[in-house]
Amino acid sequence: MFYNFNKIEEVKIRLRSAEGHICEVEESAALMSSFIRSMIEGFNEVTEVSLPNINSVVIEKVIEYMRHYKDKDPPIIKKPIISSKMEENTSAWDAGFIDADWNMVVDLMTAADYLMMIPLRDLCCAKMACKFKGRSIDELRAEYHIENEFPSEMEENLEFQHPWRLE
Amino acid sequence: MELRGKELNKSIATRKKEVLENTSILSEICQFLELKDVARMRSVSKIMNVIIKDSQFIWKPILQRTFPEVRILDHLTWQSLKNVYKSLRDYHYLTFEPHSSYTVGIIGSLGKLKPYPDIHSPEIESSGIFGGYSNYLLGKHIISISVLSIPSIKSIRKLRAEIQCWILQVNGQAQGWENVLDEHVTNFKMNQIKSSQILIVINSDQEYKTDFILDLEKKFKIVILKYIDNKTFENLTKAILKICRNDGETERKVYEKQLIRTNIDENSVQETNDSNNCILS
Repeated sequence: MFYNFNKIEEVKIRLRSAEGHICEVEESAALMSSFIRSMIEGFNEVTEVSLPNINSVVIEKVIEYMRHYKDKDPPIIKKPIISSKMEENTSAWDAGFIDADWNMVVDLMTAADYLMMIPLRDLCCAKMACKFKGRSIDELRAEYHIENEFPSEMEENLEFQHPWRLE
Repeated sequence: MELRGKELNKSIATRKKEVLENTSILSEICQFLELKDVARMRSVSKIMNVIIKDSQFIWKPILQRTFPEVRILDHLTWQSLKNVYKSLRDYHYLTFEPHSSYTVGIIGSLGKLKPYPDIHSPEIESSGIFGGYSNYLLGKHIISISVLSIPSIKSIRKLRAEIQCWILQVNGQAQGWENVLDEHVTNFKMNQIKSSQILIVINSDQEYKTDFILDLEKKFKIVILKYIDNKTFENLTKAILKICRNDGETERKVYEKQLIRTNIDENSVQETNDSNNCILS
């Protein structure tokens, strides 16, 4: 009797999104999430995990990350980041993966936090940190549509107390 | 379509603002930034100022990463951050005195000090001791003080070489406390700990003036306080540093006077007639 192990299909985990859509991912990839791992290990024969806080677009993005790193460790991002360009802080694949709009990065970060995927959460945080690194106060205010709320005398006082914040 | 575009822009702008007002997200982001970037972010808006200024989750990891030698226990304020930063810039951290770190042993509990369980020393680890760290800027130098709570008097001998100052902490309200204190003092003597290295702290709501205390005062520095909280710990720290630095009797008297003066200024201390004793209220 011969077994062809290559043909044995891997167990798939069904992830139910906030909208009720089902996204399938291989179990070995899904185990990257400590949350899913605890569900699988805690309850035998769990094949479906409900993620009511995460929409299907974000789940697909998370699955892309899980599949890419299912057989290898994600690179560790240095704290603090060395540059405001993601390509200089992490691998080219990671930099390309996280090159998304603000909403997607925030959603991914929230999802990574919920799913307990520290490398993905770090990647999102590092991406956001890039947007703050080396930027002046005025640049940041312009970027985030924030008006100067400090009275001028308080502003002067802050500068007097902490001149190095402007360096 | 144009309206939808505007709505989208508005939603992104709102989202960005939400992120900047979310303490936990900001904390995570700040871990990837340098101290000066985080300091700059504080000045962007009032809410960011408040979040960053008050969040130990933001400052603690950054400071500990930037200054691994400095262990922070509590009371991390903007002022202390500035001090640490200034010290680095003005005095170059590496040129600090080699003896800028002291270990203090407390016999008894740490009181309200938050324990810091991660103290690495084979001797300490094997004795099941836990402790706390704090750092202070004294003059031009950051002084790092490790406080160890020693559960057992038997550990005294073991840790004798590692500890520069001993604090004997007893609860003046418990029954038989005088006997316990006497036993501890005897143990110190047996283990050849110099009396100038010992600070006796009596936790009490009342002023104790028993014959026993009066007798002890002739040989030891005694502080009576309600409990060791974070604020009184700062005063104790100054006393401890003096003990660590000056063994001589003359210098000890100078420090005792300074301690009393500091306590009066900072904590509404009632000075007693005896210059060797002070009561913190």
